[in-house]
Amino acid sequence: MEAANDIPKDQAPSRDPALWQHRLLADTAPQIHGYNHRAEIAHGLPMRKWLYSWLLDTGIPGNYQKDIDRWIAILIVANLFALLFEHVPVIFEPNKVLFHAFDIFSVAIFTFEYFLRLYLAPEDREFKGKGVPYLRYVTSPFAVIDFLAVAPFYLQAFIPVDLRMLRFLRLLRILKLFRVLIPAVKDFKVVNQGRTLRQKMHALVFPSEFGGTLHNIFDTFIALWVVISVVAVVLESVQSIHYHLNIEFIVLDAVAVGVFTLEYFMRIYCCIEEPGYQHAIMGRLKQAKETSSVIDFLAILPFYLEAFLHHLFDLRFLRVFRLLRLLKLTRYTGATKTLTKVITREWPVLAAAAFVMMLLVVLTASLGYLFEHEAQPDKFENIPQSIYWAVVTLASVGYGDISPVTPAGRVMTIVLALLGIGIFAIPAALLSSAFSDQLRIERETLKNEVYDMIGDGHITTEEANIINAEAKRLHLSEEEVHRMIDKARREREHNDDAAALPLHKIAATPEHAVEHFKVLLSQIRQLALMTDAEKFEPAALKADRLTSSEIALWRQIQGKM
Amino acid sequence: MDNVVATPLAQGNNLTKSDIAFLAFLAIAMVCVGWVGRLAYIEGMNNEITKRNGESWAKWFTQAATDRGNANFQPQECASTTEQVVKAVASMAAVASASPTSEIGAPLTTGPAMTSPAPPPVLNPTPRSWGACLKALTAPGGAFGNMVNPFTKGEITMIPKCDMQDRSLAGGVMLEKIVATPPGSAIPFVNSPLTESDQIDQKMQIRVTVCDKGAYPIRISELEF
Repeated sequence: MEAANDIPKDQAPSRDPALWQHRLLADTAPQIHGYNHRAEIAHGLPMRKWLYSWLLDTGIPGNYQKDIDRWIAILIVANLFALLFEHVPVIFEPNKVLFHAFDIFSVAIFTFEYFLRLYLAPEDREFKGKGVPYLRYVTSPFAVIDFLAVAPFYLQAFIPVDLRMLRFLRLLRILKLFRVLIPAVKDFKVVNQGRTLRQKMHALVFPSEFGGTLHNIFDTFIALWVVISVVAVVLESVQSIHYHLNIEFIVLDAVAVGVFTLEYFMRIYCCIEEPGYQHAIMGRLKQAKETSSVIDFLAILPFYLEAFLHHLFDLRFLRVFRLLRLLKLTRYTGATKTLTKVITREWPVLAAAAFVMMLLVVLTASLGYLFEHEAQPDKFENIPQSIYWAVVTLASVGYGDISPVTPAGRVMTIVLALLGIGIFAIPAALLSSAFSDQLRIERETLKNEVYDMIGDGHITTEEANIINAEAKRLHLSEEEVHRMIDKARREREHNDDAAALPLHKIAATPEHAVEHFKVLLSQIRQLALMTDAEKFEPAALKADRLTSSEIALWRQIQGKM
Repeated sequence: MDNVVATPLAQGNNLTKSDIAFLAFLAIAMVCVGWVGRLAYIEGMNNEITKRNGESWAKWFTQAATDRGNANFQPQECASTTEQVVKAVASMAAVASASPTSEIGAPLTTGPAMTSPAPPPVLNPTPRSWGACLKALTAPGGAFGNMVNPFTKGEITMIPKCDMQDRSLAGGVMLEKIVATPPGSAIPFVNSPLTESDQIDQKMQIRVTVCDKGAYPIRISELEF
């Protein structure tokens, strides 16, 4: 998709640097943002319009609309959890006041949101210029849902409502999530019209140009379940909590496994839409062997093993492996990829450092055993036990459970402790510098990409989206992104000045052709000045190297005719 | 199954044969998750019933700790004779001091010389053992006569220890007496299973534990009996 102000690529760009810069700025200014981009909304707007632009307008990047949607969604999910915990007496009874306060707070926020949207309805494109916008808004499905989310709270003030019924009505607050979900589904349907189920599934599960907001919601949903299930596993280890919430944990785990199983099978099924995985069987096997898929599999395996094999073995220990679900989050962050790259790149040096460390540990442990065994046969019983002492000392941990008592052993401990500082600092420093190097490399790569992108003098919307995504990933501020673009542009100009354009491109613009002709003339004159004029013409005439008209032109350029 | 190709032929509603097969597989997988989840839920509910059993024992012990010194405490096998004697003596002393004919400082006797508005309670100083008490409690009509082990569906069993190696212990109740060690000992107290021959006349500290489905111990409560 190209923006309205995109210039066709086949149009020859102007070589005028000022014009070039102007066009770049004109093209990029409204499109390129850093991670910290804030909308620029004029202060002079009418109050309602100004508020709408800042708070609810979906078409202005950098305003607070997405933040509001996100926080409202978080509040809805928190309400859902509050509702669930209200059914657990051991949690609810001692914290009744807190639950009630949270309910009041939620209703206050939702009511405020309702009236804010009502007030700003005339600015909304959906209701603008359609009779009475307020009435249109109030009767719209989303507004009805918003109303239902808060109405029961106010209703109970006037009519005695059964508590169970009230709780059920409060469940309606979940429907507010549809405000985010329905537009995303609509967009998804439009973009994926005519595609097969597998292709749609691929768009939903894997990052692609067809995913849109629904793909982001899917990712958020999975990440949310990962966090919930990991928190549950951690809390399960607290005896007092596990005692009261055992059944809740079981239900939660089953639902989480259901979600993760669904996701796992969907990924395996539709992975063949990914480039490089097209083969029906081999592609899926390849996908299943991917680290992320193995993690996905391990995340659900303990549940099934414990269910099917519990009568054969005690598989309770497998529950700890449910914490592996945390690794599922690595799919959504580039940090693991960067770490892998850094370790791979620095592997020879890290291996060398590890080798030195190992050498030192074995030698000092052997010496420790030699010096201390007789004095403390129970502590320095053998070399493996001495290795434990050596590592603890070398790492500057020093538990103190094993310590030398002989003078020789103590001297060696001093040396070992001093060496340890340096030895352990090497890998740490290596990793630290490798990380910053990697970041620099990735920023350089982005700069090179920008350099290529502005080759035709402008940045398309698609290119701007790529830059925006990379800027977000590399945590580049808006200022840094623009500085990078500016730098790439200047380098491009510099290189373009030095290198000649292809002749057909010069010929396409008469002004450029004239300028080029002038350059050629001056080069011929320079040639004439530098060469021996006495010998040039005989050489040209000899063997008819130049025709008579060419020699006449040569003389004309020299001003001899 | 399709054997290559990223874009299979779409039918009327864009569902290919492999799509339909996958959806069927997915439905089976979800049924499987639901079934396994249900199994886990049933096991979890059994654990909950076991905990409730343990809590019932703890509740009874707590209640009995205050009442078993009374002469009319039931079952008598679980009553504290020592406490009954102390209480009886205390009540007689109170009666004697309240009586206008009694003299301050006169020795208290249970003999006919003492004037009393009500006859003293009949005291049975026979020592009580846990075995008799347990038998009375778990006998039909006893406080725990109807208690069922949810794992075996049989009657509740008292076990000396939850042992993960022995799954048959699941749902069992473990009662331990906690005995303080002499001052200066390395550990402040020791706990040992409450055996049938243990005397229960004196007040004692009890720990109630139940075994879950894997015969892992779940501590319920520590209380005075």
